[in-house]
Amino acid sequence: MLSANQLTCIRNQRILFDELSFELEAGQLMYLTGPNGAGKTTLLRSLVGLQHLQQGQVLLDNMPISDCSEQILYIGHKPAVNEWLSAKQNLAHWFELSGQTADCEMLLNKVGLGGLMDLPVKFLSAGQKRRVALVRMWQSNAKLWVLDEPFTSIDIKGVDVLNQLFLRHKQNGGYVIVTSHQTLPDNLVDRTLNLEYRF
Amino acid sequence: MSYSHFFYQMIKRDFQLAKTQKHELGLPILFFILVLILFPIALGPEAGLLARLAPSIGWIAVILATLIALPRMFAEDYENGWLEQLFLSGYPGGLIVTARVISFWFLYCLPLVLSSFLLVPFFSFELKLWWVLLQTLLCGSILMTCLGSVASALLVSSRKGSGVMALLIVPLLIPALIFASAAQDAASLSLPYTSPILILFALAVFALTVAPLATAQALKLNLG
Repeated sequence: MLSANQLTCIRNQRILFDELSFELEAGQLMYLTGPNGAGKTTLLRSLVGLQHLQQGQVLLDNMPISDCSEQILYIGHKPAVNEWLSAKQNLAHWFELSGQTADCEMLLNKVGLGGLMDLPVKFLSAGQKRRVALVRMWQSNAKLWVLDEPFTSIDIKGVDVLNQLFLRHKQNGGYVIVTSHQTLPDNLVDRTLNLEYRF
Repeated sequence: MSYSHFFYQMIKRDFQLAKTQKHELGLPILFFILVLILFPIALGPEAGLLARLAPSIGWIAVILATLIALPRMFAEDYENGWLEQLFLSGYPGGLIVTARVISFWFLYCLPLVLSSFLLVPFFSFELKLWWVLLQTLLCGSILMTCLGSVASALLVSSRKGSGVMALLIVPLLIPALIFASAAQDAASLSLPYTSPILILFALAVFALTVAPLATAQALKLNLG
């Protein structure tokens, strides 16, 4: 179970959220909505432990989130893809970091980057770059997926593939927390959390 | 993945990246060589004067050339999000930073220190004295990289780093510069010069021990 207890975050003298609590059971997807500037990204970052919180804690299976680094897959606005390296090199470094072995070529073929995997990523389109970042989800052992706007620049077919991945992860007992300005299919969403813009 | 393997992978990635960005690598060295060429032209061909000035010009040129490279130490990985993934991976921040400091030193500082050999032909600098300069520069460049890593981490989220960077680092380098010139003076009078070099070495070791922790903390602050 993932539980967030009394999370409070104040940035630039503005309260983004205070005493926010929620719980998520294994196999559930939470869809985080809210207007621009409401603090969605900040909430996601504080869930994985990147953002300093004024108060509150996040527990994954009763362990503080800072002790569960292997269980987290966080894909934020910044894709963690180096523009000068090729897609294959980027992925190889990624899997080294998360301590996994994976067939990078097969994975890149799967997401339609077959002939482009040795090209520096800066020559790829925005959507293709995004795909390089999202490939990690195919091979992830992490229980908790925290995804900030994963659908940005992804085409309709790609969105379908992502939705199927979410479903598969849910069926395997994982947790998914996702923000998006696109609507997700109803059968996928178990919980919706709406953040209001606060002054 | 064990810490040593992680460390090796980090350094391997930095070298791989450097290979794709040769222009960035060459810029500080080009600057350094330009300064060394300009001085003899501006000062005139008087050999005694040039040889006397050579070590100080070498040091100043190394400091300035390193300042060009320093803002880049963490900037790229901060922009593209790799840094936050590193800090999420659960490896100690000090280890992440130490790996980066070491690869930075090998990629940017070591070539500069070695190209100080150009002082010998350009400034009719004695080879024996260059050997002393090399030792002071080796210690000094480690110190510079460590101090620079803290400054670079503090300034990583502000885009106009380089000017402030110089203000932060150069005053802290003054003690190193004093010991380096003490060693140089002693050597030019054929006196023993090991003690100032040992002090420089101690400064470098101290910086290498403490700076990564401060840098990691500064990076964490900038990430969230």
